Amino acid sequence: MATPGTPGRRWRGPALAAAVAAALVGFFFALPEPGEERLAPPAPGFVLRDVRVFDGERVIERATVVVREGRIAAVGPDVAVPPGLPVQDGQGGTLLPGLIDAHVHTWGDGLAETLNFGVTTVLDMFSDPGPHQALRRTRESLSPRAHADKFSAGALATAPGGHGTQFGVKVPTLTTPAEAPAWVDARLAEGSDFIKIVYEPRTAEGLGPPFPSLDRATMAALISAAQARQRPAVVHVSRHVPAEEALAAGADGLVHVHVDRVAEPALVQLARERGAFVIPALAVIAGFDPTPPPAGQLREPLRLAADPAVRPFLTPDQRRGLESAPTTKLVMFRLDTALASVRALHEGGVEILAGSDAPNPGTAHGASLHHELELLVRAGLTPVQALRAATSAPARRFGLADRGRIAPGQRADLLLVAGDPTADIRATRAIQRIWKNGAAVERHRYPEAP
Amino acid sequence: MNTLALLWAETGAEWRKAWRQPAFAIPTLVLPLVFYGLFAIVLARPGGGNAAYLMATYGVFASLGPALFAFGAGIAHEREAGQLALKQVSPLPVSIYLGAKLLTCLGFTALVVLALYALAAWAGGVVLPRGAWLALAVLHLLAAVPLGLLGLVVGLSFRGSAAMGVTNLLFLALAVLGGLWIPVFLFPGWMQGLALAMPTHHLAELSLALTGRPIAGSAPGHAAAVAGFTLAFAAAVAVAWRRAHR
Amino acid sequence: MNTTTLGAPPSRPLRSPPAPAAAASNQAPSGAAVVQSRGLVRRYGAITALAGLDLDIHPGRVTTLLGPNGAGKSTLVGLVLGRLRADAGTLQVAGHAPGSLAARRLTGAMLQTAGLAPQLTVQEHVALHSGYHPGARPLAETLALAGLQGLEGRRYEALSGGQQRRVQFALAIAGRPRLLVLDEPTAALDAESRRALWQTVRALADEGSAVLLTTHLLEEAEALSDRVLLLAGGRVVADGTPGEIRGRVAARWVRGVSTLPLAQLRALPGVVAAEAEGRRVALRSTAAEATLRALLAADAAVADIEVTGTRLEDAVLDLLKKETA
Repeated sequence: MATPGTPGRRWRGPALAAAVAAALVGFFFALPEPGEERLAPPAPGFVLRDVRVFDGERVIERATVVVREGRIAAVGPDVAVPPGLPVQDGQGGTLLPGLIDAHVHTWGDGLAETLNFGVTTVLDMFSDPGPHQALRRTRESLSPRAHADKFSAGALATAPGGHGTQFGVKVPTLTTPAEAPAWVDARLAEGSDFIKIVYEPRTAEGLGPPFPSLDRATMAALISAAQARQRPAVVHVSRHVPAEEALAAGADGLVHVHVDRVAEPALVQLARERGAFVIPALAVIAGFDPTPPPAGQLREPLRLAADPAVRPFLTPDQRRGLESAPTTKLVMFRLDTALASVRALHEGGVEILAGSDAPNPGTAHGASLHHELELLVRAGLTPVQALRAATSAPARRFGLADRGRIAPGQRADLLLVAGDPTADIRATRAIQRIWKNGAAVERHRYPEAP
Repeated sequence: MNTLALLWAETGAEWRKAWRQPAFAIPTLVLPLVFYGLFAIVLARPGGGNAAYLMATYGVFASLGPALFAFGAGIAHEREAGQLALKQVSPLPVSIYLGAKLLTCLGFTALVVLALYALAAWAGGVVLPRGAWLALAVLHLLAAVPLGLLGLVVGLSFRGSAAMGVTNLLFLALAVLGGLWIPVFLFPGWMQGLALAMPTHHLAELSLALTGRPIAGSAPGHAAAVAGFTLAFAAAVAVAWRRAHR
Repeated sequence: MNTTTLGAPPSRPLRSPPAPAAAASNQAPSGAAVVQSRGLVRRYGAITALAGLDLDIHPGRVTTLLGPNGAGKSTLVGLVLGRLRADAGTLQVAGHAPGSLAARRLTGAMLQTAGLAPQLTVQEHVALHSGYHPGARPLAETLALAGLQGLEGRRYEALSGGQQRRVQFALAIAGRPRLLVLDEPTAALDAESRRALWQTVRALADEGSAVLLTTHLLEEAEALSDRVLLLAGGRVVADGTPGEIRGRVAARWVRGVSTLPLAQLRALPGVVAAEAEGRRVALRSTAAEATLRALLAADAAVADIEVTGTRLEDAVLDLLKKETA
């Protein structure tokens, strides 16, 4: 140890300090900046031969599909098999585009859970913007991935104390139309892909939900501000009159079907004329419906949880959630009313998108989208129309150019199911294989809890 | 010996003392990294933003351990074992003694923080603008100032074994209730209210803001809270100092 | 008890003629008191530990504080070092306030109950404290003076109690202090280390340091001191060289193996006290020659006679008894 002032050792301290400083500088320059994320290269690809294909719009009875480096390279009955890629046989199944759940809320493991059911993209209608920002940076890449891709509204627009503020997540609220442009800009800066607005006003007589709501003018200002920035604006409503007002204000779509009464012709016409879509989220209504099921049948959520094609792939928490789902005494939540509304909207030419509103009570990520498809068919959509509602339609309405269809250049998010879901919609549950970004995804089975 | 050389010599002695105490060095250096590795990397959820979130909060945690234990239990123990007596009769200024301890804390914190960032960047996939990495490092190091002052209050006010107990309690409270281990947004409402009373919570929120994450409350508000805590702790140190020297 | 040549006071083998003051810059002009107090008072609640103490400690001399527990020795040391504050009176260390930075710069202290960081090595401790004082001794010299050669790399916790005390001694002398305060320095030292330390202290005093020593070992006071201050009840009860103090109580001891009863022995001329020490009797006498003649006459069979001078111990006890009487 150097005694202070001993000649020759006097430089040891400063030399050490300089070396440490240099090492630190080097370290901080080596830390990765955004854009330098280390991403694995896309999977090389494969060929699927002799398979029925629903390409997002129509059915091709027998086709060969070539996937190369995360994208569809070719699809068609006469496609030649290129050398060098592994070839698999379709085995009488049907290849679908990876499903898109148009209404979810993701926390925790939701994105992985939903992929386990072949749902490769979700549209999140309200969750914490933080994790979404990180995911967003790598969303474009075609690296293999173990979870679904998320497009998110981020924080929703609501009044102080209004619906959405009760979940413990900090929600920036607003009250006047003048605040709308800045509010939308803030969401976009946070990473929101589109804007969601909660609109639950009371009637002129003061009847309505027991919490505050944005007023009509603010709701309209938010829609304008979002659309001025080329972003879809969707609105959460639960009753007929607010639904009409939102449609009149130019909303791109509604994220719930109203539950207070069956849709009236005026609303159907307004929706059709405005070109708006509706995401009925029948699955969550079915979950809350207190009507006792017919004798010998289970309530909808329990029926879903008991389905042998579904149950093994639900996590124990998801099974618990479905089996203990509460009903609500609110008479409004009647599945038959909602089904009648969807029938009227569909027959009136309004575009329907498939969304589950998972993970609300009575729903489970991924599984409930399959449930939603079944309910849409029950409401009068054909299986092909229901499948469109979960593939090409949401992709088109939300501007997701590389998803929702099986076509050259599209992202290779794919789902191979046994049987023909275009004939029997429940065949979507008989999943044989899932691909995300052209890489096979291992499907997880969960043992029964003791 | 001029002041700087004296500070360097004293810091060297303090560093060696701390380094040669496995009971201090190992938990301080290893705990944050092991926990981070476990919760942010091994148990990471695909698609979750855990790695970045936990890097921000565990950086504060890396500052908490050395600051509290060196100044709190450490100084109390040195007082009781009579180690301070000889220093007090020597011409060593008190500021150099405390400064040496602070530099040692900063050194330990820096080691952990750098390892944490390396782990986060190359195993957890965290990316940040370069300025953000630097600003975060500065914040995590400066956190030693209010936390060290708090530790000093404990070290001056309590006898050896009592100080150890109090330091441990404070450490746990500030870590858990401040949301350093489990994110504060998972707390029930009343616990989130408690977090506001923890300086570590405000430091964690500032760290999260630097990683670009939207936070509850405003960054200037949290910074003001940290400044307020620092002043309050400094005042408490002055009072405890006077009492200890009566 | 030491026996020495009859009649001669015990020698202090470590005394040497004062050497010329060393050239080190922190030596005071000889004569001026390094520590000076007038009317120093310190109380602890209702107890007065020091009741108006006047004190001068000069360079080049070893001043020893003696006294029973509670006499105020530790209090005075605490005041001189600035660890305690006086309630009244003045106290200066080379013209500075005790405990001030200037005072601490020229002071080296070895405390009774002090600890050192157990994880640091001997060399690290001594080097660190050397660094506190400008003009400190070279490291090797300090280690040699404290008898720590060979132990440089050993951690403090791995040292024996005696070795640890030597390290603390090294810290005290490292800075070439003008004032060296040693509080019970040789407690826990073996005889050999003790003598080595005495040698070093004596050498340092001869170099010009002012040494303030507290001890309860009267042998140590006798061997080292140029001046002894006897404290009792917060006051100086006696002040002088060991010889002078001893001289205050003029009495000597006549010892021998005698079968005469104690009562008869007590009646011999000059005898003030008679004690049995096993087979021997010890007679304290203010006229030793008369006592001796009477004893030889009274007991023809008396054997193993020795006559010794007063020990400082006895002088002290005597003075203390007088004080508390």
